[in-house]
Amino acid sequence: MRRTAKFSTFQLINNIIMVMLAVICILPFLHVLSVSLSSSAAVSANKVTFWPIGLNLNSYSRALEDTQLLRSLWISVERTLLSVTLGLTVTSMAAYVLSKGGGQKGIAGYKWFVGFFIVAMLFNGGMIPTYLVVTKMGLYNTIWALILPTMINVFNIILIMNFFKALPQELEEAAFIDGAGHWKVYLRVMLPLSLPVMATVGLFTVVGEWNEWLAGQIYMKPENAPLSTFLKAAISMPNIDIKNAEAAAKFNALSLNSAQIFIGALPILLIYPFLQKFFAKGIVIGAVKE
Amino acid sequence: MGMNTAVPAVPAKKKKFTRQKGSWGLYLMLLPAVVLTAIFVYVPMSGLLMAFQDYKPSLGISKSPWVGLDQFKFLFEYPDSMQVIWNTLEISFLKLAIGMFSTLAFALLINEVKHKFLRTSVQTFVFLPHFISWVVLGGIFIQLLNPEYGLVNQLLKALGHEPVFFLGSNHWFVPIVLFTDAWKEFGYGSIIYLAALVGINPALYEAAQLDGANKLKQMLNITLPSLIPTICVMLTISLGGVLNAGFDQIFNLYNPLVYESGDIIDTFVFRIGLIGGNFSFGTAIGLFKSVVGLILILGGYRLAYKVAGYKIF
Repeated sequence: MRRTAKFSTFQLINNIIMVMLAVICILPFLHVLSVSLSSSAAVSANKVTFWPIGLNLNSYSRALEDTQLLRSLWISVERTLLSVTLGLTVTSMAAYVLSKGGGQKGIAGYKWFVGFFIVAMLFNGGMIPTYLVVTKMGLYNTIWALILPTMINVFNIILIMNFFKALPQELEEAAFIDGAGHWKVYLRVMLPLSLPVMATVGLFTVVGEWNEWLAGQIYMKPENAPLSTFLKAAISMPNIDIKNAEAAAKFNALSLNSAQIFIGALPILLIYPFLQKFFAKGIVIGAVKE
Repeated sequence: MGMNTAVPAVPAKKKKFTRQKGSWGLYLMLLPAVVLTAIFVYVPMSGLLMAFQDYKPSLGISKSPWVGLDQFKFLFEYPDSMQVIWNTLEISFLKLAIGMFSTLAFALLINEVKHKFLRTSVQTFVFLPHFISWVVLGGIFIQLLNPEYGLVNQLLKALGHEPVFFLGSNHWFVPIVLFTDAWKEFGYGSIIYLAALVGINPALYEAAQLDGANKLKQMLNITLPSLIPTICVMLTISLGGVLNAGFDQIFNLYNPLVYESGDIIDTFVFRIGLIGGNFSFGTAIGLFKSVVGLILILGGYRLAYKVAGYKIF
């Protein structure tokens, strides 16, 4: 859709609005980053806006001295990696089976299984019964309480299933004729071809697991909490105590808090370029069906 | 069955053998997903029985006394819970309306940006907040809106206004929730509309230009009508979520001062049910929410199918 590139007032005003919106979206992050990098004198004088004053890394070194933060960071990394690998494996295997449909190619009881997953997508026991099941299984305060309950996401199964369905069937048939079984076809044919959708689902899982804090709060003891849960606690504390604290100490706390917030957001910011590449594709995969 | 009418080229015996071997593998591949779903979705559903009991953790579901619909009666008589249901609906519907407007407006406007670099860089920035957790954003907004040192209040003071304790005021809490939600999602939410915009026939615009229609007229008469099916689908589908007013967001922004205006069903269940140990009452509210939500989802999908032929499976 190429139209004449002549100057128009609408274009100009529109471009300005768009740039302003982009700026509004990052200013809050810029402010917190600046506070975390500024000297405590500048912070306590309320001088910091969107640029660090008296640049230093003190609040970061103080935040990273906290062994609890490092421990929580490690638990978040462990949880995220396990969730992604196990989740993708289990989800894509189910998607492979369901992509075959019923009848001769697929499994008997196909419709029954579809119903089983659809109902699970639409209805659940809610927060309290789920909590009781997880704790009764003895998962309390183990990393599996963070991983197992959310490993199956029916929407992801549908996403991957639709991708498998769209792959040319001839490839699969050729493999079957060469004597491959379903496992071989799944591992050697389907998985290598489905990198885009696996990356999409994988990146969404990484973001979701990294950001999730509630399970960490209700299923883990504070010393085993993932980073987002640790952060949630660190953020809500000064909110209550700050009024009574000494001014200087308070604003050091503010700087430290900003550093913690930024450390919490950093991994997402680092994978964001990769996310960007895949997520639009993922949305389209999910939304557009034949 | 009997869909495969082609005459098999391979001997029937051999084919049967491979299929048997294969379908055994298929069941094995499906097994983990089925087991996990059964344990973590279906077993908790049986826990919903608690909603009809006076559940005592020491007795368990099998031995706790049955109380019939008492928990639900309590739910509808307890003034707090009516307030909570009202808050949920209010926040949810306002979010829906504002979200719809802001994403649509953004999609229409960014679609008019012809400069490719500008377009992609703006998108990069406006999509970012979607991926940042409410824990982090909660921390950021609590700082920005703090009455003493928050940047927003610094600005108000500089303009000669009194500082406002936004997150501690029942008057301001809901507007802040609505604004921050729109801020977080308007960019990302626009993707679906942008995808739909790609499909519009360029000849329509050329014809309109020949007729002398300006940008605004083209937008109102071509672009917007083309998006109506997508808008209908998005609206009807989000109907299923009206009882989810955003647990993560509210829980990370609120404090006891704003329970009156900001408490929603999910935060209430968490506070009264889980933290307060009132398992039966919390489960009853949760069940009420799930059932209403399910009815709305099914109704929404049916509506979306009727209006725009949308099918999920």
